[in-house]
Amino acid sequence: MPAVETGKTSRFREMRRSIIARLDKLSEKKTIAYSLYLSSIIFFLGIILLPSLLGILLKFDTVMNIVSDPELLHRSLTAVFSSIIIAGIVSALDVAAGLPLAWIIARKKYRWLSIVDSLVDFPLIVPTVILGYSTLLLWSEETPFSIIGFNGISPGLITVLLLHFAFSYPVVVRILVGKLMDIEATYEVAARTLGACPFTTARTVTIPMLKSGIITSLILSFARSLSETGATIMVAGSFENGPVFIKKSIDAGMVPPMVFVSLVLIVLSILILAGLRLFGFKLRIPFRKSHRIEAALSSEGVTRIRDLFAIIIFLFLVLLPACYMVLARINSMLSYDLLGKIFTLQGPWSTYGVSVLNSYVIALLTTLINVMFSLPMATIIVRRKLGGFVSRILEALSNTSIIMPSVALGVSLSLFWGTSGASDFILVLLAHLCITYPYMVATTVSVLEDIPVELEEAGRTLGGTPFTVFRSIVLPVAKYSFLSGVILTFTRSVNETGATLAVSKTFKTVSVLLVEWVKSPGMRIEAGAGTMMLMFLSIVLLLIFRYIYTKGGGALA
Amino acid sequence: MPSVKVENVTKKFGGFTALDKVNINVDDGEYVSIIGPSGCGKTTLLRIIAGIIGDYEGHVYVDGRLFDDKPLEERGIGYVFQNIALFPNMDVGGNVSYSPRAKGLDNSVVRTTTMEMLELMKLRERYHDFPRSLSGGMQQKTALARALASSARLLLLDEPLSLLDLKVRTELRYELRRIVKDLGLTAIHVTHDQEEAMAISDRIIVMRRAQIVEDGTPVDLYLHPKKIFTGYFLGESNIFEGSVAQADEGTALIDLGGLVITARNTGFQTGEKVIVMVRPELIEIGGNISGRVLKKTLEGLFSRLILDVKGMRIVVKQPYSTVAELGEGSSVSIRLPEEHVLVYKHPGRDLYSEISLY
Repeated sequence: MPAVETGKTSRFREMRRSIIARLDKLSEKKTIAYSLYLSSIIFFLGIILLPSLLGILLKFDTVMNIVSDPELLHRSLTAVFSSIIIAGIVSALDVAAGLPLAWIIARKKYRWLSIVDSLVDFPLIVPTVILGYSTLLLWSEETPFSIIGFNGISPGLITVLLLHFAFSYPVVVRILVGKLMDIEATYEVAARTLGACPFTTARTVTIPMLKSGIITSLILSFARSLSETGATIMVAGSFENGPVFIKKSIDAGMVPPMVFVSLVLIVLSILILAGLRLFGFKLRIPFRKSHRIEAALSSEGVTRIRDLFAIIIFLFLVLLPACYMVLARINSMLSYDLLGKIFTLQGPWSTYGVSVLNSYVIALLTTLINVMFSLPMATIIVRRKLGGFVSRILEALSNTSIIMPSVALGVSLSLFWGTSGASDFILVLLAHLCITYPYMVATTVSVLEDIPVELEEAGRTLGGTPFTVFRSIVLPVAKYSFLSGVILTFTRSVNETGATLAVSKTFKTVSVLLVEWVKSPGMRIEAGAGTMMLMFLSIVLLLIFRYIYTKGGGALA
Repeated sequence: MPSVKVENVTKKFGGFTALDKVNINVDDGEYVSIIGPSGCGKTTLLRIIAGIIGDYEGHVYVDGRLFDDKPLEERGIGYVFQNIALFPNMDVGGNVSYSPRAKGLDNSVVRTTTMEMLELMKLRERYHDFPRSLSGGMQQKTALARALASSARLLLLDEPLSLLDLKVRTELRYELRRIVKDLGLTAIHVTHDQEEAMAISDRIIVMRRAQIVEDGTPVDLYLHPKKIFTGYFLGESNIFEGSVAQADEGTALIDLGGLVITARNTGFQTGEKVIVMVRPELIEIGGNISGRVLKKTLEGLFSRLILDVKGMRIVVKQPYSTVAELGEGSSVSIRLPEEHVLVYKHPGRDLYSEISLY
């Protein structure tokens, strides 16, 4: 620290110190703790759970219009069926292809792999809808692979699969890398000293211990594939899944199909994911004995080919689509005088500036509010504050909005809040809170579960108040897990289009605006430039945030 | 039958040297303990022998065969971990039968080996229990059974008893030695507990700061350590700085600063600076050195007395009954038998850096 401090910073410090001291005092009171728990439960029930379910239930009677129309019923059910099949295939492929890459990153055999580690997060920053357009260009309209005789595939089922794989893959890898790092290396070493080759070790020891991580990955990628709307529409062509069908009927002013399809999707996905949770944990990989082929699979040659495959899949099916939109437009963008136009906010760029601001304000508020309310909620769940039974029910219910298609969620929210007279800004904020809430609760729960309760108790016996213990023990220990929860929440909010469009036709977030631009043929260059700007801004913002967080977190403790 | 030879092994982690030109030899059928303070490199040495850590200088031979490039699953070594490391997703039977299954042996062989080992460790009733429902002692027994079921002839034990409570630790200690001897195995046992090492081993290797200090039988190391550090680390010692007042043929008078004692002369010159070490148990009551009891504590059947002798503090341990009438403040006279007074050349620098643990 510099010896001479300016009056301003020292006053700021004093203020911070006195706020912390006051919070310390407050946290000692039981009533404060319980009112925190109570308000987090009220928030969950009133803002997250009931609005997302009740809106649909209010219009439940319109379902009969569909059931009595055989043609519409058939079309709806086909769309639902497609959604479920795509989500199933994509989540299975995500885990199958993500596990080898997560393995390479977590067990870091080579130093240069830390680059791959940070590249995995990159597609999270790209708005999903841009990924959709990018996918369309890469695999269909302007494929660079024409030089090797590949003329592209027309938009349809295959492009939808490619798109869904690309956006759900990074989340799966993130989760699996974290889980793999949590598994103590001793177990694998123990298996090896007992004579198991690497393949047998993975099959019998590591993967069974990774099961909860794999199930979480499957749930998240399955839900994300079901819920995605904006990007899917771009690459779907005439193909229809649930969200595409819902979007089309909204555009045509039809309410019944969307209520029906949403309802069926919600019920089916809850059933499927509950089944996955229930039976997935009971599933065991039988191990009678090691077969000779397992030693062959462990050989260096096979391992190297597998690693190579994992990296190629990541580079071509995930990273390239994430960047291709910008790469393909780079020439025309250079001649477009981007900076001049953006900074003088000419033409469409004034709308762009406002929408970026909208997105970041919404994302920031969403993250802050969710951090605030998910922390007491996670404490209730993990520390069983309201008894084991209530905790378990709350945990199950907290996942509801993540397994709900975002377009269905949006429909529900707009029906629920539609008559409230709230401004569009508030409606969009509420929608984003719903969509990101489970991410934050889930990461916080896993953070708290990893911190032994003894550590917290030790802090308390040494004289720390609950708040002191939290900021000086819990937060530093779990600093990076919190960070990834915050990043997932923030980027998800910036990416979101489906629910945003469902609750407001006038409020424009940047993702919504970019969708519009990409759809109008005259605005393609602007769309590319806008994406590049957004990616650049988001990366800078995340880096600054990371810096302040790591620095400030230390000072707080 | 396995013998182990470690030749000039050096291992660095970044800038930190964990092992510095280490040489050890372990004979077939020997039970050897490696002891030393935390961070001295003993676990690293064990992991290098097992093949868990690679990328070192020097060589490791087992049975005269070079092991440096052998993958760890082909070494045929039983390794028991400090944190036990039972597979949480398998029951006791699953853990113990893991090795024969991983090696692709026939079902009948898997079954007989497993049952044999469970029988040996008296774990038969626990076959279907999962690790988390077992006590610490039971868990470590299961881990031992698992390592033995791999039909390894060389057992590497990495502080296997350190997480267990005292009672279980002492019981399991003798069981471990019995099993190793009954089965005719070779064992290398790493520990920081000197009492455990003395009770269990044929030979002890003392390590400090990435190097071997010395090795020998427990009795030799205890009664006649060649290095001051060994005497300090193994059990309790009285250690003083002094100088040779008078060197004669056979005996020497050593001045400890007011108190002059007699020791055997092993080639010291008059005026030379020395370090003197005496075990508290080997100091006798009744003699020509008088002092006063500062503190008396009970350690089992022994009493531990801290005496003030001419301003020096001397620790004495005697059977409870021998010193029953002495209390704090009583006068007492003691004798330091000359055959038990160990004299070392003064290292030149200060004594603390010679014996400090890290």
